[in-house]
Amino acid sequence: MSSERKNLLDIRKHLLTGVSYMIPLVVAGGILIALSFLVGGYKGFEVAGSPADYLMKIGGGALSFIVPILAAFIAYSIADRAGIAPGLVAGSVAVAVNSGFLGGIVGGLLAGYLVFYLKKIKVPNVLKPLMGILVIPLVSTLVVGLLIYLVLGGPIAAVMAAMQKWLENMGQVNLIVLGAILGAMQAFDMGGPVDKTAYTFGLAMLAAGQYMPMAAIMVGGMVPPIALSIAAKLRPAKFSPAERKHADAAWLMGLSFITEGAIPFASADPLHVIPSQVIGSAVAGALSMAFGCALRAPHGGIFVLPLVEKPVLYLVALAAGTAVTAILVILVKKDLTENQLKDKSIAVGEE
Amino acid sequence: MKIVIVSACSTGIASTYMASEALELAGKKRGHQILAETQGTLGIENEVSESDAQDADVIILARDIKIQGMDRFQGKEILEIGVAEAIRKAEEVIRQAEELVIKKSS
Repeated sequence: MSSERKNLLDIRKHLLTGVSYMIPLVVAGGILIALSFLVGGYKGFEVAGSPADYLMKIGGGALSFIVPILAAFIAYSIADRAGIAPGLVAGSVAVAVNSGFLGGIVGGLLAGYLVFYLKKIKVPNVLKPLMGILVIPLVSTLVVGLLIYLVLGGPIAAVMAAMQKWLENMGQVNLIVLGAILGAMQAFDMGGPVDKTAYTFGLAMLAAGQYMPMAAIMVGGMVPPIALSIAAKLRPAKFSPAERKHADAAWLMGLSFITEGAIPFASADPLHVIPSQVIGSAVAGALSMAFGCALRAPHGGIFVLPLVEKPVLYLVALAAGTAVTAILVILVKKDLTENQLKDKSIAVGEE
Repeated sequence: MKIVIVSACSTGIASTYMASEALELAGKKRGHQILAETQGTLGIENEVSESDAQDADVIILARDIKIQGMDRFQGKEILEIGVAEAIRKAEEVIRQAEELVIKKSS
């Protein structure tokens, strides 16, 4: 398969590119709205001119862009600059027909592929500028807009509504299982594809007004680096000098929801570390759901604790998961031999 | 060998830089000259110029998302890998890049 073809079909790259440009908007919007509730209560924003009012307006403004930007940059991943404008419109239309996050993804892909093939149409050189400034923006925007309004929008909106309902009606037990799975996925590959899948699901849920999954995901992602740092401090004989040095930074990474902080520990001893952190993160995620913790912000770790619903219980979930992982790691990891202890090489990248 | 590395992950805060460092370290260990550019959430850091890009023997793209400025690499041998792979298997990736260069020149 040609590299151009491969690139076209790399849906994961297109999705993640869209998500990547969307994240700052969700962060700003989610946190500002949560702050509005924090300073003014759930109705504080109704007082015109109050801080809560401004926070809500600005936060709401940020959130209003998330689906259009998602779609725009999915299209950008496929078709470069020319995909952005039709992608923006596709996302905007997707919101208008209530097809939300999913509609944005479909719209962005459509816009991207359409522009990609429109660019390939051969025209005499004199007409080329016209293609770029007039034909491509006009045709792609119109076609994608019509496709969503008349054909795809309805069905996708129905799917989104069904998913909403499914989540709202999920029994307590199933929610806890979901929390465990989401937490486990974070610990499994720490920033890798499995982690990103869970995280994108969390973002989609935020966009749809479901705030519990993201809380479970975040607490699950905080556990591995914190737990491994603690284990390294308590039982240094089980960790190489490089790992012990890394532990000094890793705990803060964990508190900041940078799950990648656990990668050096996992790379050094995957057989013992990964199952231990998967179990601990699953526990944390499950407890987060069980306690009913919810979070509107897609990142921030401990620094957005004031914005978490049921913050004290959230800390309990975090502590419990961390304890489980730390204890498991200490129990199953073997003490290093003399030679291994002398090895000053960096754990990351060494297999 | 002259190797240009560009890394870009989706959150753009940690993995991007970890991948870049891992590959740079592994590359330098093998005696290569490394230019490492990161495309994180704040934008492009240590941007590799077009002339440096064209000068290189091979380009390694450690990426989960679209890389900006692909025009610079026109006509070059490019190795594309995921960010996670770059972090965990940096040495193997460098070796793959070496093989690409050897295959091209033979």
